[in-house]
Amino acid sequence: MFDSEFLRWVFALFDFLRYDFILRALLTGIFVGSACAVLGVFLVLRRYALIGHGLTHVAFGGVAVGLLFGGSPFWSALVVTILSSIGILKLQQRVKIHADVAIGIVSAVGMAMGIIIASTAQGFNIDLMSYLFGSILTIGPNEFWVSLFISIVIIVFILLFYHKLFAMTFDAETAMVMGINVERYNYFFAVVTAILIVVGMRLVGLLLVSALIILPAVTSLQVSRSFKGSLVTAAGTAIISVFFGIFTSYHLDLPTGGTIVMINFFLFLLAFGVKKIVLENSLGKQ
Amino acid sequence: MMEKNSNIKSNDNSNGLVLEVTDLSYGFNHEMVIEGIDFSLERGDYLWVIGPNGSGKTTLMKVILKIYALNAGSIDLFGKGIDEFDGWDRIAYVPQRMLFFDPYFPATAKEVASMRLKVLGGRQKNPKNIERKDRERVEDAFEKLGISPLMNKRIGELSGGQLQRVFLARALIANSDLIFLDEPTSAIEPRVREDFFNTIDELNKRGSTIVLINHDIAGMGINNNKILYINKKQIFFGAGRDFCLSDDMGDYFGSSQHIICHQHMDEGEGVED
Repeated sequence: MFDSEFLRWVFALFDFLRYDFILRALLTGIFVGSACAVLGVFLVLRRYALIGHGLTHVAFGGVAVGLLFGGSPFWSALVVTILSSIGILKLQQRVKIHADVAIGIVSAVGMAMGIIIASTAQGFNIDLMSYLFGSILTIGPNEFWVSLFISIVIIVFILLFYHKLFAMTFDAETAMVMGINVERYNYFFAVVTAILIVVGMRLVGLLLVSALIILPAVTSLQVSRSFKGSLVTAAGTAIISVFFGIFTSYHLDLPTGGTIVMINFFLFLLAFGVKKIVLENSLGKQ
Repeated sequence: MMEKNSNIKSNDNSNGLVLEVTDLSYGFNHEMVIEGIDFSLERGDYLWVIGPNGSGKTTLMKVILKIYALNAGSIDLFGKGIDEFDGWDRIAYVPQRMLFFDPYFPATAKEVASMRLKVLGGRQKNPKNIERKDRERVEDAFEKLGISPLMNKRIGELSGGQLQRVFLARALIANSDLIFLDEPTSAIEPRVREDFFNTIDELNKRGSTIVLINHDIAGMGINNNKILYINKKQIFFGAGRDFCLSDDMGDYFGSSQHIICHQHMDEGEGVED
């Protein structure tokens, strides 16, 4: 059926899978990407989509703190980002402002902190830059296992509390009358977002990591009819974009993080197009 | 057939009092929204909360349901102070059509209606056959409310009245001792409204206590044994029959009061004798 020339060409296309570092990148990307995507559906529907973006600025400050004191930028960013995500909720409650304003304040402070540290303590600007762009292909075995563990734990938590999280996302007030501690789960979402931002920063860089949260979610919202379906579609979109992102960047020698995000964007356009066509067809029939 | 309400607990310390509101006030931004609300309900009561727009009916309901924090006064649910109360599985809430409802929310009518059952189901010890039983209960409720064909529709595709019936289905799927409804028929056409009230009557006859907010008392049967009329402050609380005879009735309904009251008195005589 297929001549050997064609088979050889196909094998060559997927040849990249035999490298350990590519497999590590692929698996990390698939698990972290899926966790981000599933979380993203909740955040987008709860109008918290920008919290991810805001926290990337804070993580930048956190990385700078780590580099300044010669510690691990991953852990310093993690601590600073988690505290800031809690700060965003506290600010919202105490000062009585909307989420977008609280996110704006905290992200500006985080970024300012990063810039001040970077310009006063000379010498690590290049390291700091590497966190802005990420490098999924240089993930070492340790980081690989940590990322895998964290993203699996987050996915399990979301599945475990699925019904409660769905209820409070649909209507927080009615969820309260079901005895759900909505405030506690707000903190859950904030902390989980902070953790995923820091884990995801190694993959696609701080400049793009919020795209892993927003884009697959928005893509799935174009075509999903049920809530369960929207979570599955978002995770599926993340997996496809990570795989073809690495695939394309390998063959065309493009930066991997940017390519993953661009493929995510193309999938969004595709889903949007499909929705338009389906909608027009159904209107035409009436 | 609806099964007999099985989860009404007799071992609480409420002495039959399901809800006791004492001198309740609630304010926001240094302005009182409701003041001096004082009433209590026994098991099986059916209360209509009436009052003009902006009179604080919905606010009162949300304070009782702990959605808004209580400022002053006290609320006892099933004999327990609101801060200690944790039996939320005994209380169902049918909200007014949600204010910021997102028509693109990805959820089917079935997912929304079974949400409460699933959340409360997490507390059940015996998971045997739960999936199948849950499905049957959801299907029964949809059939009862005449919305079976809508089961797999996306929630944003439903009309306002259909959405309200999905919310009622969500409340009645899991048995509840105390059911709060906030203008549940505001978007429902008159023909369906009667069925809707019949369903609520049936829940009441099974032993559930009902608290229902509505603008007018058209459609109120003899079962509606209590009226709470508020306009920021409490104006009347008592039996529907007494409300008919009071001057408050005239304040609220104007000259049509005699027609409405006579109608209800006639209905009442037929049933009570």
